[in-house]
Amino acid sequence: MSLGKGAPPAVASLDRVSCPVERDTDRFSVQHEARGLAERAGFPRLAAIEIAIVASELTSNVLKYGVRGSVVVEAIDDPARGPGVKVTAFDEGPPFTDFDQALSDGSDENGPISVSRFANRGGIASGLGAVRRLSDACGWTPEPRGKSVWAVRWLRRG
Amino acid sequence: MCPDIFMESQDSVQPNEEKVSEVYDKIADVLMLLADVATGDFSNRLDFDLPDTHPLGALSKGVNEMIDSLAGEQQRGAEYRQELEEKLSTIERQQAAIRELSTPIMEVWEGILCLPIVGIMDTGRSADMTDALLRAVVSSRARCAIIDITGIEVMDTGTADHFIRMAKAVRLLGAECVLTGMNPQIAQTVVHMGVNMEGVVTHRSLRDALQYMTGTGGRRPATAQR
Repeated sequence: MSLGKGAPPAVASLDRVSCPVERDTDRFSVQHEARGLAERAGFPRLAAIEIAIVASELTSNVLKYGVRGSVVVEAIDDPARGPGVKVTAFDEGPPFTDFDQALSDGSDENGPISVSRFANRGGIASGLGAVRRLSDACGWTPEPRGKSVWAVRWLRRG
Repeated sequence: MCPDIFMESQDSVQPNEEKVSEVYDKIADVLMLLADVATGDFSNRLDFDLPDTHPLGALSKGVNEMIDSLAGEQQRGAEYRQELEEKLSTIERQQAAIRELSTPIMEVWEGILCLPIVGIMDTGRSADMTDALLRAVVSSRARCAIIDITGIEVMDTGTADHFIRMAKAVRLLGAECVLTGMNPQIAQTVVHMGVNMEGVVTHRSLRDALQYMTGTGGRRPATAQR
């Protein structure tokens, strides 16, 4: 499992969908698109649902921390790892100060989230944690206007 | 551009002072008109009364045509915008209608409410549902609320959070709250994504929950663990 700042694996993209992210309901169109693409790429039902969840969590984070942006889901094929799906969420928010901390449950990049903040922010602060557990590699890259967070799930996990 | 036209007009027109000042006046007219256009006023046109062979005549014709076409574009743009706004408001109205239709709360037994959830759980819908459910619990003096999620296919952490919060709020009113109809995929993905749903009581089906609540059999409930 590779984590942290850095570019995703450079492999050819076969099938690709891009969804704009502006409001909460966009989570569901992203889920639908991601699941459809994963199934087309040969993933079994459960894995496709899990890819949909990864895409959904990254979408929620775009809205929580990155104002707005877009989510791109791609079918990829790596000579060594075989087929996979990559989800990339582009947002206009500031870069991560501590990505590892952000991956921990109950935390964002600034550390554990207090009870009073939980009540207001919504969610259970386990989104990126879920992304980490449901994907084989994830990380982030600075972009000209904001950043992108990516996650890859291979058909053959290992 | 202006000096060129001025030079050309000098070639074709007798260069005397009166002519020159007339040309300056006409150029000033053109500039005034363009200033109007720049502010979005397309109502005026140049009226030089010169032949097309005269450079300023050709210019005025060209400028008028340009304004005609800009005005046309503006008109079409306004029509598109209005059409789009109408469509957006239709979508908003339909969303409101869907929300109202999609929170049916049934009293399936004395003191037992059931809220079947179909489709998506966004923040707005979850807030509406929680609100309606809490009101119903109070008004019908319910002792149990069953949230049936047979219609949910994908449970991300946001959706799980909405259910956890809903169940907590119902319990604060002194009623029990149970989840039913969790399908095998959701059970697995909840475990795989590592969401802690501790404290949320689940029954396999609505039927099991109902039998248990009414004391006519049914399996004991399970409390989802990590």
